[in-house]
Amino acid sequence: MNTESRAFKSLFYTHYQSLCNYAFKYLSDHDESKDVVQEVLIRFWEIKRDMISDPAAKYYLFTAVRNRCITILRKKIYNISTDEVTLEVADEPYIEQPERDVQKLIQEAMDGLPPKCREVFTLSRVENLTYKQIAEKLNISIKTVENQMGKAIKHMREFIKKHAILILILLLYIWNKIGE
Amino acid sequence: MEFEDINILLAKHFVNETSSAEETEVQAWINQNKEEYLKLRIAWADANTTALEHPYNPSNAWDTISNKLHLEKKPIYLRNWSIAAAAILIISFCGIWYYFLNTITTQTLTGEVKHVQLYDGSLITLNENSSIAYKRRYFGKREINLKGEAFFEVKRDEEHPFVVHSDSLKVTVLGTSFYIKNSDKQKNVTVITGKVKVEVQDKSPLILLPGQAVEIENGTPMKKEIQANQLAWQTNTLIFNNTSLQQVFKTLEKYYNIQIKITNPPATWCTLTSEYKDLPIEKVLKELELLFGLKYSITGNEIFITALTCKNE
Repeated sequence: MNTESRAFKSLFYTHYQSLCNYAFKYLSDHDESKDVVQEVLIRFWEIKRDMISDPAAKYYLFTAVRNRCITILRKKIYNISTDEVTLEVADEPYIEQPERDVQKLIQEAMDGLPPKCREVFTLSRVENLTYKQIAEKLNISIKTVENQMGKAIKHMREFIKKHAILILILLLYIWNKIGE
Repeated sequence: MEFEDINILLAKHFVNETSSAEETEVQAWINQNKEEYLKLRIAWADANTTALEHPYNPSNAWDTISNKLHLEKKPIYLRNWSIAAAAILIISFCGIWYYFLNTITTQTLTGEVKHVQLYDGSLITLNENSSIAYKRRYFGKREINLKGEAFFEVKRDEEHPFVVHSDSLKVTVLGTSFYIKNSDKQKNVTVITGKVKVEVQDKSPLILLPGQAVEIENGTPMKKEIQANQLAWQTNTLIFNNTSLQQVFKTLEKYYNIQIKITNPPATWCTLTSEYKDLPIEKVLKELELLFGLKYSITGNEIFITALTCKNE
């Protein structure tokens, strides 16, 4: 094994788990997540090998995984067969951490929820509690939990509309690629 | 109200809390708002700061990926090949090295004489009960270790001095023929042609010219005139030059490995001048019979001589 392969192996072992978990947030499917991560890492080795020792390689990998997940979600939503779309995710120009900025924005937006709503949202999203568990924990009805979560979604949809352009930077690019 | 409802349903959809009826409703909405749903779903994931820790096995994945990209296997083959190649090279080198620089030892038994030709063309005649050790090839000096007795005919090569070690004795030459005897009784170097440097441990070296010999007595080299027939075993030639008959008989005894018994010992002035090359003892005795009128008889390796008369008388 040469130095490059060894560096790649180390990069692989360092990030594989978190990349899979990251992909899972978007896809909610373990097998799909693993496939995406494998695909991205292979593409990375094939065309971005010179980046192996670059600390930015980590951000490249996470960006590529997110992009690839978005593509897969889009295919599902639009019912595009997998055969029709061969998207070279890792071919996309590398933009320094744009998704991090978008994510931060969304996270900040969710921090701006009314306190009660945010509490419910946090218990659901961060602690992964079911509606029933949240209701019991906060001593409120399940209906209230549902309403608070609905409010959070509403808030998120408003945010998306407001920041549509920012969020779309990457999405549009991917859309164009699919259209090709 | 319907607007609120879809938000609630979407939230339930994202956390898997929808009933199948609700799910159908959500899917219907998604079909009408595909792009928005996509963005919402991404935002939903983006907003999730939970550090998920589902255990994914990196080892299996790495095996798959390294196989696909030929990361591990090919270099291992390459490495094995290079190890094999290096090993073959080292072994061959050692073999060649051993072949050329391995010390060869030649030895002789009692009554045996061996001729050894060295790589440089030099000839060594090894007398009985002796041995030499030398290297097949040399770098720098041509070095020989000797035990016992040998005659050297050295090819001239000023670049590579010819050095003979024999215990404390060190003999250095450029090209010449010389004789070394190193036994318990006698330590002797005799030069036939050329020039020889003889060193005994830390004693100052002696330079020997043709016809000269050095005898080492008590560790000190002493120059001496050459002893006739010392090298007869090597040359198969006996030379007598005004040699007393007593000495002649001694030489014959030694050369032919016989015992001579004389009824009347010869006078000291009785001498012989002659040369015998490759002759059996009988022929030598025949000539002595003519010269000195002696009678002889051979029994085994004993020779009885009678009626010796010296003509000079």
